[in-house]
Amino acid sequence: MMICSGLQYFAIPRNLASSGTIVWKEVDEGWIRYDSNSGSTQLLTPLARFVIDLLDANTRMHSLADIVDAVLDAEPNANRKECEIEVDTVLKILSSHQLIQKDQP
Amino acid sequence: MIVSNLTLSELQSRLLGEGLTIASGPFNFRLQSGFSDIVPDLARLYAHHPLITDDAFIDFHVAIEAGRGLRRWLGAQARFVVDGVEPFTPLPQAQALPMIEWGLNWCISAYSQHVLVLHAAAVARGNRALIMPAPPGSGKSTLCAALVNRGWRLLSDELTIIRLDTGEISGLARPVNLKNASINVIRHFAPEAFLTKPVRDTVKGTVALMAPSAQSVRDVGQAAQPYWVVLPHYRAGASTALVPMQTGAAFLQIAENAMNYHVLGIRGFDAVGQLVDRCRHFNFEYSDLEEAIAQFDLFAPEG
Repeated sequence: MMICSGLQYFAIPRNLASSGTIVWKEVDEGWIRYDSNSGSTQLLTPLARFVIDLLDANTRMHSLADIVDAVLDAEPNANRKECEIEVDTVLKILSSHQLIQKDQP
Repeated sequence: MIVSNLTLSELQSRLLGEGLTIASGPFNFRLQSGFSDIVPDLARLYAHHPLITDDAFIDFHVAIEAGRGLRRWLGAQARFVVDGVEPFTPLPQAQALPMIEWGLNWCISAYSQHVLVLHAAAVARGNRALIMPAPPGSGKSTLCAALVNRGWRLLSDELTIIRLDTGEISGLARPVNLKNASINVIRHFAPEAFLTKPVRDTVKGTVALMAPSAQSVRDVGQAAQPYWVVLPHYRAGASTALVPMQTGAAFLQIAENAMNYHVLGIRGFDAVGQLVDRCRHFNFEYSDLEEAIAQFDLFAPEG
């Protein structure tokens, strides 16, 4: 699988984001996310929730490496190579579901 | 007073006149119809349901009426009318009885936004309820009919009503809708159960209705606590297998089968979440009903 290291990721800007409420529920597999505006319900892994929270926490763009660094800060024992693959997969899924945005630097 | 206290002619007279007013759990409905051929089966299907008093609030005013114009005689049709509205296209008159059940299900699904309505069967042992959400063809109604003929209390075979305030299940104890091969399966499995004559060529195939037990109807007011969620799947020749399901997968399955989840918004999300938290969840594959029931009796031995 090709890792898209050149892309930058950021949270959906507030003015484009749903005007509804986002609520979360913890489940065995991770988190259920519910958007009251779109009515969509999604099952996300803990890593996907971590990435969304990271991007939501500030407005700047994050590269894959930034996000991997943040994950490794939180889980220092994780393997960097495996982490890159996992994070890259999560970023692709979250962008395809329009839960985050991506851009060329 | 219950429906079986009426003679057939009294029942017919009510259907023709002011209507037969029946309580089905938390819902009251008034039924009017000029079709005399549904009277004997209706009397058996609702034999134990209480008749409600004239001053009680009626949730749904339902009428099964004859087709319009030539359809009164040529290829005779039946029309389902609720509160003056006709939500469906007419059906052949032979389908009048199942049409009542389908129509009442539609009324509950369309108008009940104060409860979470699941497309699911539900049965109970004591006050512990087993909920079976599943798409048509999964063997849900067959399993439900088999369980209620082996000591489980029928709450509902099609719509499970979850109260938003307490999370409890309000039973309906209405007839069980059996389709196609499951009709003969249940006839052999429970010869003592009352089933209507099969109605062929409906949109769901051949259909027969099974009467709820007197006990299920008598106890319908006893709220049941959700305890197990089981997604049944009938597969010919399969061994009985009950496999635990993770709560995230269970949440999605329940939400997908919640008919008013989107209408309720966050209240629906919370209701599904609470249901997930209070239940144990399983996928269940089966082909043999006796084995299936033995499996459920194992995890509900105290009933």
